[in-house]
Amino acid sequence: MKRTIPVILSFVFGMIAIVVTVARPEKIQTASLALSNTWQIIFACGLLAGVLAFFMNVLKRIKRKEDLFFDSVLFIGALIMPTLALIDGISPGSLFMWMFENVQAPMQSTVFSLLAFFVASASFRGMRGRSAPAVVLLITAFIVILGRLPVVDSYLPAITDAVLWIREFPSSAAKAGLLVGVGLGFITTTLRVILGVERPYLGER
Amino acid sequence: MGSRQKVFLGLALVMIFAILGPFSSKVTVSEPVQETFDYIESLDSNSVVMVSFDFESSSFPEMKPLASAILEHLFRRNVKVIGLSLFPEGAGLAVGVLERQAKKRDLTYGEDYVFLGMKPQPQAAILGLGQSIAETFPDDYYGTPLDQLPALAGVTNLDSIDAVISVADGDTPSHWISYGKVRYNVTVMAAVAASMMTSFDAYYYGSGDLAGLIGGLRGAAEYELLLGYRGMGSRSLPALSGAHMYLALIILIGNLIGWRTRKRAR
Amino acid sequence: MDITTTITALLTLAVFSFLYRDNPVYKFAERLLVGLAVGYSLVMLGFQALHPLVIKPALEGTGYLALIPFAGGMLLFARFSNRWRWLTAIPLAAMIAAGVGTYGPLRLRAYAINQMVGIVNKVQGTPGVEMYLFALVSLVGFLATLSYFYFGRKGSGLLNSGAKLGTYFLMVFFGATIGYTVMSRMTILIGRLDFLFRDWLGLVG
Repeated sequence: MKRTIPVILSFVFGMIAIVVTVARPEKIQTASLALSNTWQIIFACGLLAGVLAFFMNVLKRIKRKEDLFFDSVLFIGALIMPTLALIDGISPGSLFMWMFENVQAPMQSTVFSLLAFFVASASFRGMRGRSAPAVVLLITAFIVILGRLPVVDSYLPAITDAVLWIREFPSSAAKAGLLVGVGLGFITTTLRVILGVERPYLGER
Repeated sequence: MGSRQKVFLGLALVMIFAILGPFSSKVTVSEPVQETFDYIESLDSNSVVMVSFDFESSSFPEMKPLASAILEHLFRRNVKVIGLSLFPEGAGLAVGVLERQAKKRDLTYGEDYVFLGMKPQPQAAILGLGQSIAETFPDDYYGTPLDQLPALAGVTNLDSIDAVISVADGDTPSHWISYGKVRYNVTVMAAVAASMMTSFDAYYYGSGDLAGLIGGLRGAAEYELLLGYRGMGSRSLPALSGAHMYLALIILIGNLIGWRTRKRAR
Repeated sequence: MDITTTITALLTLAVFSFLYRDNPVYKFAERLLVGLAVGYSLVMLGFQALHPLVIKPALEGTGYLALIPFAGGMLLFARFSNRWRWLTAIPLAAMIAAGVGTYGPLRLRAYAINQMVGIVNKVQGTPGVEMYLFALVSLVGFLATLSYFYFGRKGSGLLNSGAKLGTYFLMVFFGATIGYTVMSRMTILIGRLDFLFRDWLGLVG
């Protein structure tokens, strides 16, 4: 029963999903909305379970007192946003949005901006043409890095044109090949999951 | 100071010099940006466009100029804008960008534009929007039922929408293409982070499933040029140029050092 | 230089301090960020997903059906119990099947069929010799990339040569991607530096 119910559910939901996707939209409105809202609600519950797992993990770490100060910062930080939202709502101008716009979002983008430095460092150390394909990659990257600059637009428009040519022809052709491979492969995965051959929800392949 | 920190310092100095200096740059407009502009230019006050803010705060410095330029153009054309987000952080950022752009033109919330809020599962949301906007988003971001918003009068599902513009830092436009364009035949355009440009070229240049594609700071600067103003995109071009030239230089130096080391080893 | 901008600037500098080395100031900022981000997600899930789709309709008496998927989603919390963990397979099966059931047919069309049609249209519909040759480059690149994916670089002959050529087209794609990714990362850093020098220090007009 522990394995049978999920496999049956997988088949039923999978078949409903296929019908909802291929049938004419006006004919299956109720089923389509029921499926999308069910999916949405279960997904939201899944994220909620993730948040609960986070809190339990942090509380365990606080109990162990290994890194008490920083784990407490983590825990208190997680409580701040819900508290502010309950006090003042989530509209622009609220305390919640102030915290988000002036503390969370800038810090998040600053963390991401550190990648620029690491990209520069990695380019210095790692972008070496050691083989023929690597040379092709390096030359293309070099052309694109330079070709999107306004100063190159003005003095060397051929490089800008080269970048646009690369995007329109060889690069998009390679991406199209990738997409076809993925698209065809996905049909196999769809059938395997729906027919119960592959059961990722049971932790099996 | 190790060689790594020296590279970091060099990059920081180049960028700071470019930001503080009296530099400006001009760009030429590329075909995908021009096509996107032309499409929005063809819209009018009877048009309804859905703008999906599908990005997170990590890439906000890159997405903000793109989102602002597109909203500026839509509001200039008096197009009704329905905003939404398929990411939690996108909602918080989008509401700020929308309000700021709308305030510049003295627009009224609920009449000229609406923000539906966020739903966390993108594919389910787009599938639902194709059937019924009100069933997928019963309330807007502020908790107001949709039937109380005049901007949404007669707008029932994606059939009522002239175009969807996905402003994204990840793969979400491909969901809009699969679930929106392929399933419900809505026109989809994308304004994406530069890192995603090559991923969407196949949809724009190949299958034609994307009607327009703008990318990165350069794309935002080109769009601002077409709109006739100097925004964050245009202002940041000198710093971007400096950074890229610095990077090109260190790649060359790195390869020269590598070549000399290999030569000595032989 | 108001207090809000100063707080944001100090937190930004705290994150940048990581470039020198890992330190307690950076650690504090990082923990605070993670905590706030979790709290923010919790608020958005509640206010934007669960409240309008489940809680509000149930409280107003306008819709109780959403409680069924909600109950299903609540089974995901069974992951915290060793005895009842198997119950999580039920909502997971529904959600995964809904996903693959919709992905399969739509991705087949968007990824595979439309891309193949696009390549053929490019070759057929392009006016002029030069553009026709470029379109052939796309066709060759597309076929070579597919050849690489499906047949790999085994043995010798036409298939192996095709796959080898596919590698080079993929290197062009990855090189272009790297070039554009560099632009992306640099842009985010520019945004943060612009904030520090323009909004905080007021050194730029």
